[in-house]
Amino acid sequence: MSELLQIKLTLTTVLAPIVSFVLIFLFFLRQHAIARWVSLLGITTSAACSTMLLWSVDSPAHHETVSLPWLLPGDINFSIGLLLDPLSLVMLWIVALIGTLVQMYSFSYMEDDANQAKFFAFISLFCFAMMGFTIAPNLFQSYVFWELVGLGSYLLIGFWNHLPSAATAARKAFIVTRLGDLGFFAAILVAFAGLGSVDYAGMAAGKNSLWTASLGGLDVATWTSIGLFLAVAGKSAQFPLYGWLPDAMEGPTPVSALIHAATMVAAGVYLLARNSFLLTVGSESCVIAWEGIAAIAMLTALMSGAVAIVQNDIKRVFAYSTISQLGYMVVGIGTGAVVAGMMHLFTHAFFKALLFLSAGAFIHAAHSNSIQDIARAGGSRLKVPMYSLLAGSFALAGLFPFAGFYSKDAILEHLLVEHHYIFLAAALVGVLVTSYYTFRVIFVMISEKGDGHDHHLHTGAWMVPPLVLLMIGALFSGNIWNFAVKHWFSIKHVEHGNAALITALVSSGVALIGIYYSWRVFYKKSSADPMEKMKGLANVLREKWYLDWSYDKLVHAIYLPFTWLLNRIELRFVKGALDGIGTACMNVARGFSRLQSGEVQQYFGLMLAATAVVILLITRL
Amino acid sequence: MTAGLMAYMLISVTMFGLGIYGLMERRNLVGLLISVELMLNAAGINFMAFNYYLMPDKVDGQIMTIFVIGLAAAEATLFLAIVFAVFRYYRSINVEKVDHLRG
Repeated sequence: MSELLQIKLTLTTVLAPIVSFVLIFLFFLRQHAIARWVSLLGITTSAACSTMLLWSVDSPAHHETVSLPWLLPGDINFSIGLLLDPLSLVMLWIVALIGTLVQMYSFSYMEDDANQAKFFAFISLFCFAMMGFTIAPNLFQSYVFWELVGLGSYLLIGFWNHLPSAATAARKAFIVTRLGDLGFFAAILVAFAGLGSVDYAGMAAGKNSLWTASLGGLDVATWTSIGLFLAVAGKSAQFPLYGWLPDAMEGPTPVSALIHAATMVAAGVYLLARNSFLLTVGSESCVIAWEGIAAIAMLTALMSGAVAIVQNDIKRVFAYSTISQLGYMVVGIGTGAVVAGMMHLFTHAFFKALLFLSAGAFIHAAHSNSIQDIARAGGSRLKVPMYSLLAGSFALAGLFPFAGFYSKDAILEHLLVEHHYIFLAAALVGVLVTSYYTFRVIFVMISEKGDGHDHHLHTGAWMVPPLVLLMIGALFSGNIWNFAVKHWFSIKHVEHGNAALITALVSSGVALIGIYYSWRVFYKKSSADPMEKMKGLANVLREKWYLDWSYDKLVHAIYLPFTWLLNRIELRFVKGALDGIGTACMNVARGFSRLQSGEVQQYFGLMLAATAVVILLITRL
Repeated sequence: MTAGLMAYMLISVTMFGLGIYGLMERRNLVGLLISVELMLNAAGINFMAFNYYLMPDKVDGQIMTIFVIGLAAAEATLFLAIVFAVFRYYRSINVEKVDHLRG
């Protein structure tokens, strides 16, 4: 495939959704039927083009950057362009594909919504932003699209903005991720100050001496890494900024599947993978920083996995599970296993989107988010969603032959081979917890038969094809990666004896234990719920490790008094001074306005007097 | 300066002063118009007197006077139109009533 054709295809992929967005907003805000098709057509174009692009990747070293000068303040050059390499093309394909499936699904899910044209417009906007982020060849362009992605997320979480909880959740998501974005901005500044360039290619080729130049105690590479991780912690919901993601479940379920499971939250992982060259250019402190990143991610994975156990809202279970799986990806990338981390991102996009979409099918049918309510309404009799829930759960728990098995084991194997034994142990605990809470949902669901008479549950017609396709994805995406995608990355696969086999056996065993225990507790009910025994722990988990609570306290203790003080200062001093100036002007003007009596003769008298004065002055001089 | 010129000057100053007085004191719009005419004609007398006594071989002052008379005619037309308009609106031609532009 020629270069020009590739560039054209990429531009079509990225720009098709924004065209749908503009069309819907200008012409079809009232015509829902047209709007949804315009939107689907746009994203399908993207999916087709990105598939062709993926097809064109033939060599591992395939790498292409197109840059045009954009902002030229002084001698600084910010460029805008496209970066086409296996990493970005794979990501582009995931976004376009999941986006297509989710939009198709939304045909059914949003069928009764009065504002669905706006929904499809926003989701197109989001897809545009996400794909623009994916192909950005420099940090600066990434940052622009990163913020746009945040905007799309905000608009869609708060889509049902008549619900106060949705509006609050949208605000929270925006503000919390914004905190992380400060880190992104700092990282850009540091990298620019140190390297004089924010192009990924230029940064990766930067001299080691530039990267290790000291800057306020640590070196440039370390500061950049820390800044970028802050951004990742915001967008990809890592400790301590993950609190917004569970609340983001207030948005429509297709949004949760697309944005808060498959794509946007993976953007942070993608950003880390893009910048993983920092591990090789920096000094020791940078390596330690990346170890710290991995440690925080591991902590995130365990903490959120534990919270998922006590959640009764089906979407929140999967939201905490998403945080936990994102933790795994960051652990992989933080310890240097970029390909394994990206592989988990790849498979996770499929099976987590599948889980959310099947959850959405239950919610759509039973009109409740609670697992128990769905079970009571007879959710387990919904055939297709039930199968997809099963497939997704097997993939999430990492059981053979589902996709999660390959990707999770790739990370575990790397941890074993690289002697990160603490991480490995923690990750195995995580696997146990994951399989336990995942199958808790299923066992609660099938332990209730439901009364089965009053409810006419059905799955929307447009929901079935995406679910089936994603089920295939949950089954085979691991194999697809192993057979095709992996070879595009220029990393030689080294056999490490039996490491692969050992991790596969151990992790499957652990996962099976988790499932068995879950079965005993929630289906057979032969052993008591461990949460009943450990009341203290259960409370902590229900309070989400008191993280939201402490943020609340922090805001109340520091931020609100501070704003109160500022408010006082503004009211008393700033506003007082401005009001004083205004009042003075008013009074002077009022005095002069007395002269404007409206009586012609008075004016005439004044005029005469003035003339007399002028004549006097002239004759005196 | 000749005595004749002085006499004309006195007449025109008196007329001008009466005009100003009338403009200040009359409340009737037509009275104002008459006062303005007085002032204009005072100026006209000045022009004629200066022309006659100081440079008898020139006609500039006469031209100026004819110009002032023409101007006064046009001004009177406009002024009367305004008086009509004011009367229609206020039902009065008392200037003290016409104070809508009060500040």
